[in-house]
Amino acid sequence: MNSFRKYRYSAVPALTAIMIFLLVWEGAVRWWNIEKWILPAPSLIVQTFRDSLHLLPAHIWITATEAVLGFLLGIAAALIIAFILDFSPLLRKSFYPILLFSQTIPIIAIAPLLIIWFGYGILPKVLVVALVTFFPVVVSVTEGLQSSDRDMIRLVHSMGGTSWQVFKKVRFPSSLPYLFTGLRIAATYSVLSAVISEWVGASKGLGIYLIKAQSSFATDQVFVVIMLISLLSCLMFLVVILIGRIVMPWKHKTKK
Amino acid sequence: MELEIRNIHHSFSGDPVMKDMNLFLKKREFVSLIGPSGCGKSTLFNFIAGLEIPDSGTIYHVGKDITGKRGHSSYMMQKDLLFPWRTVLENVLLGPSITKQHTDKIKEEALSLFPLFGLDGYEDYYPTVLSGGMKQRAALLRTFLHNKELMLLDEPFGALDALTREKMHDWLLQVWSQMQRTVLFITHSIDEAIFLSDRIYVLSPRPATVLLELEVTLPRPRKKDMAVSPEYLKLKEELMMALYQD
Repeated sequence: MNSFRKYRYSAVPALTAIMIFLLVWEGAVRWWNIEKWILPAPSLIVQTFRDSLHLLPAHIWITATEAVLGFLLGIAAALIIAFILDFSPLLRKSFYPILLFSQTIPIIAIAPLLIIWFGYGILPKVLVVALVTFFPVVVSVTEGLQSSDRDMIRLVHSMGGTSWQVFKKVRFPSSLPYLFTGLRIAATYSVLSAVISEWVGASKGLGIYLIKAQSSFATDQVFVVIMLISLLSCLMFLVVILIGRIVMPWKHKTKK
Repeated sequence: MELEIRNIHHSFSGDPVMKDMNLFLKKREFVSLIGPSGCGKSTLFNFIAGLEIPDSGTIYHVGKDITGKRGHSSYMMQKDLLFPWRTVLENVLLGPSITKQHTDKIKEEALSLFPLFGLDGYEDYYPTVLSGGMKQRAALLRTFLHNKELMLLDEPFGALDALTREKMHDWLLQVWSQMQRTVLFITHSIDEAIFLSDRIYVLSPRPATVLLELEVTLPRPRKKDMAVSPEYLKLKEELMMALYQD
C-alpha cells in the first residue's frame, strides 16, 4: 500500500510533463497549420487509432507472438549455453570470446539469410528475435554464475556439499539478479527486432503496417504504430520485472 | 581425542606458512588459537575443514585420518555468509539441507533454538533486516545445526563493536554449555581467549607454529569480574609475553 502510494506520487511529475508536451505539440500543429502528412496532431493520432482499431489487433498479435516466442527461445538457448559454458572452463575459454565477437554481426543483416532458408513464415522472425535476445541473457548469466561469493561456495563445500549443491544453493540463486538485468534489456530488444525482421519480408505485423503507412504518407498511422510498438515493449519489460519480483522476493521484501 | 593435528608443514608457492604444527582437542573442550594476523590460522581451519590439503602432516578426527576430507566439522567463517535469498530459518537449516537430513524434526529443533539465539520472531525474514550481532548469531545457529561435534569458529565476533562482543561472549558460553560441543576458536583478542577457553594455543608469525600451550584454570561459569583477579592477570601476562616476544 505504502509503496503504491509512493509510486503514484512519483508518477505525477512525469505525467504532468507528458501532458504539457502533448499540449504544446497539439497547439503548435494548429497554430502553424502544419500539414498532417508532416506532423499530425496528437488528437488526430488518437482519432486514427480509433478508426483503425478493427485492423490493428491482427498485426499486433503477429508481432507480439514473434516477440514472445523469439524471446522465450532466446532465453532457453542462452540459459543452456550459459550453463554449459559454466560447467566447462575449457569450453568457456574457447567459445565465450567467439560469442562476444559474434555480436559485431548485425543480426538484421542475417535476416535476409534466414528468409532464404526458412521462407516468409513466422519462423525466421522468431529466429531473429531469439538471436537478438540471446546475447544479453547469455552474457549476464555467465557473468552472474562467475561472480558468486567464493566464501559461500567454500561454506557449502566445508559442509560436505557437492558441486551440484553449490550450483543449486549458491551460484544459481546469486546469478538471478544478473539474469534479470539481461532479461530486461532483452525484453526491450524483442519487440524492436520483431518489427524490423518483418521489414525484410512478411505479410502481417506491425512492421509491415508501418512500412505500408510510410509508403502512402499516412503519417498519422506511422505514429499509431510507433505508439503501439512502445506500448508492447513496455508491456514486455513490465512482465519481466513482475516475474523478477516473484522469483526473487528477497530483493524487495523483508519477509517471506 | 576429538581432533589431533600432527606435524603439519605447508608453504604457499615456496614460502613456508606453517612449520611443524601440532595441536589437539579433547571432546567438549573449548580451545582458542591466538596469534598475529596473517600467521595462517585460517589456513589451519581450511585444512581441518578439508578445503585445502597441507603439504605434509595428518589430521585425525576421533582417531581417523581426515586430511583433505570434508564434512567432519562445522566451519563458521569471519563473514556471516548468510544467503540473502534464504530466510533466516532457511539459512540456519543450510547444513541439514546439504547433508540431506532436512526433516521436520530438525526444523522443530531449529525453531526451538531461535529464542536462545535471540532470533525469535525473525524466522521468516530475510537476513538483510538483521543487525550485525543477530547475523553472527544466525550464522552460529547455522553452524550448530550442521550437527557436527567439532565446531571451527574463525573470529566470529571480529566485526562486532566492543559492547556487542562482550554480550556475545556470555551468550556463547551459555550456548556452548547447553549444546555440548567441541570448539576451536580463532581470535585476536587475549581477553576473549582467556574468558572463553579451556586451553589456549599461541601461534608464532609465519611460518606458524605453536609457541605456547596454556591451560586456563579459571573456574566455570566465567564471570566478567574475573578479569581483575590475580589468576587472570597472570594468564594474561603469560600470553602477552608469548605474543609480543621478539
